[in-house]
Amino acid sequence: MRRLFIILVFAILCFGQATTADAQCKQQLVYQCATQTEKAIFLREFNTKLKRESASDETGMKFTVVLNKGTQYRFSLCAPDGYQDQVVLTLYDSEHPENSKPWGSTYDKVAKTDRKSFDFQCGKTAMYYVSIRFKPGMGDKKGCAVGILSFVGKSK
Amino acid sequence: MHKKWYITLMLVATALMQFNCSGCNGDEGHIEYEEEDNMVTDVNFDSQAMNEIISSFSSPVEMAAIIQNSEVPFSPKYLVNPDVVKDYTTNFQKALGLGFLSADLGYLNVYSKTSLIIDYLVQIRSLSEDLKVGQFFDFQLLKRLATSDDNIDSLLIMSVQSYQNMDEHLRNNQRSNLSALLVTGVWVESLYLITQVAKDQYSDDFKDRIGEQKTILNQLLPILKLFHGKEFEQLVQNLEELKDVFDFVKISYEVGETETKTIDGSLVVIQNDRSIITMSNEELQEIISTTEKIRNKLIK
Repeated sequence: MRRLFIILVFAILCFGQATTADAQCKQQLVYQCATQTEKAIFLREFNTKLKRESASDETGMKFTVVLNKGTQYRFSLCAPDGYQDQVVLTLYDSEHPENSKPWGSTYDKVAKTDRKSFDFQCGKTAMYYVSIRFKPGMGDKKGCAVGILSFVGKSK
Repeated sequence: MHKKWYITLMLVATALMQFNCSGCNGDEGHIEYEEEDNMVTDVNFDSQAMNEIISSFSSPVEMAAIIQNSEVPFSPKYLVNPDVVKDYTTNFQKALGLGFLSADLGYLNVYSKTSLIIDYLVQIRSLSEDLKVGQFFDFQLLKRLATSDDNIDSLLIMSVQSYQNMDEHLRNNQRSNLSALLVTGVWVESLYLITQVAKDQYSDDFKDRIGEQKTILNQLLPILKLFHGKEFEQLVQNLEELKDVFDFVKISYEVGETETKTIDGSLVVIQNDRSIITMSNEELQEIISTTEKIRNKLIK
């Protein structure tokens, strides 16, 4: 019963907060996404609005994040029903651009498969970018997606 | 019994929705900020670039996670006494203090020290209300989560989200000076935590982690220099002193081939580019003592 109470209050709170950011995902999805990463500590979220006006539009958002040497991070992506296979999270920096040679992605362009998450063992402390966007040719209406950054442990 | 619960929940829900929606739709027209919050920065600054840098700084939980992952036992002696913030009078002090307490809350969360958390929540609520970001800090829910050991994950997630929402709100409402202070508070306290741990329990890993903070300080300082005011000038002076000792740290880079592995069904990308930290033990001691001095000066 206590668990039910917390989930409900959380959902209601989140409903309220979600309205502050037009078309961002509701906090309930953020919470679900954050809690599905087992054995990792939640560090931050990337809550993203997605909208494509025309086929050539760049959708979604880009975030900056400092990652520290010696840490294994996990990047997870969640989207509401109907959007899961349309969205991609990419980790990159200025020397490893988003579209040509990113550090990691939830979408394997060669195998054309999605993964919910990937881990990144960071070798140098620096500023990195995380983008969350519709895949090319996808996304004909407004949507949202949530990226989660978690701490897995020290790099081996 | 279930019906009673249902009604209670709906009442709570309605109340919460009313409370929440007082700040909905991004309508900030009802909130008047004090003039000092809108301190104009350097005319040539690029606010988007500045906000990108501020928002990139680490989560209030990360350094604590590193310490806990190294199996260092919990110690309350590293933490700020939360009551110290009761004497803060300016928004400058309050924003910086909010950062300090947020980092300590992260440390308590990571170590599941729920019995100590309430005192921090009380003072964070007070600071966030004074800074007019209290709508992002649900004290009652956090307090409820803190009183049950079953909900420690939820407490950590909610705490971090509250911090992130407060920071984002400040940046989106031309109060980047306060956002910069918030992240500075988190950074200084996180640095203090790891330097104190390294003082008690030396390891090469901690030494590297501390040395790497030179990179962060070199990004943070130019941002803080953009803001005017005596308190900012003093803060910059303090951090310049810290920069002087970090200047001894040498960071070199080694390029390597990126590897990808599948471990337990998950993709792991291994960045074999390496940053190599060089500093002597004397220089490390200097960083530890200067950090301690500056952190203690800032929390007064």
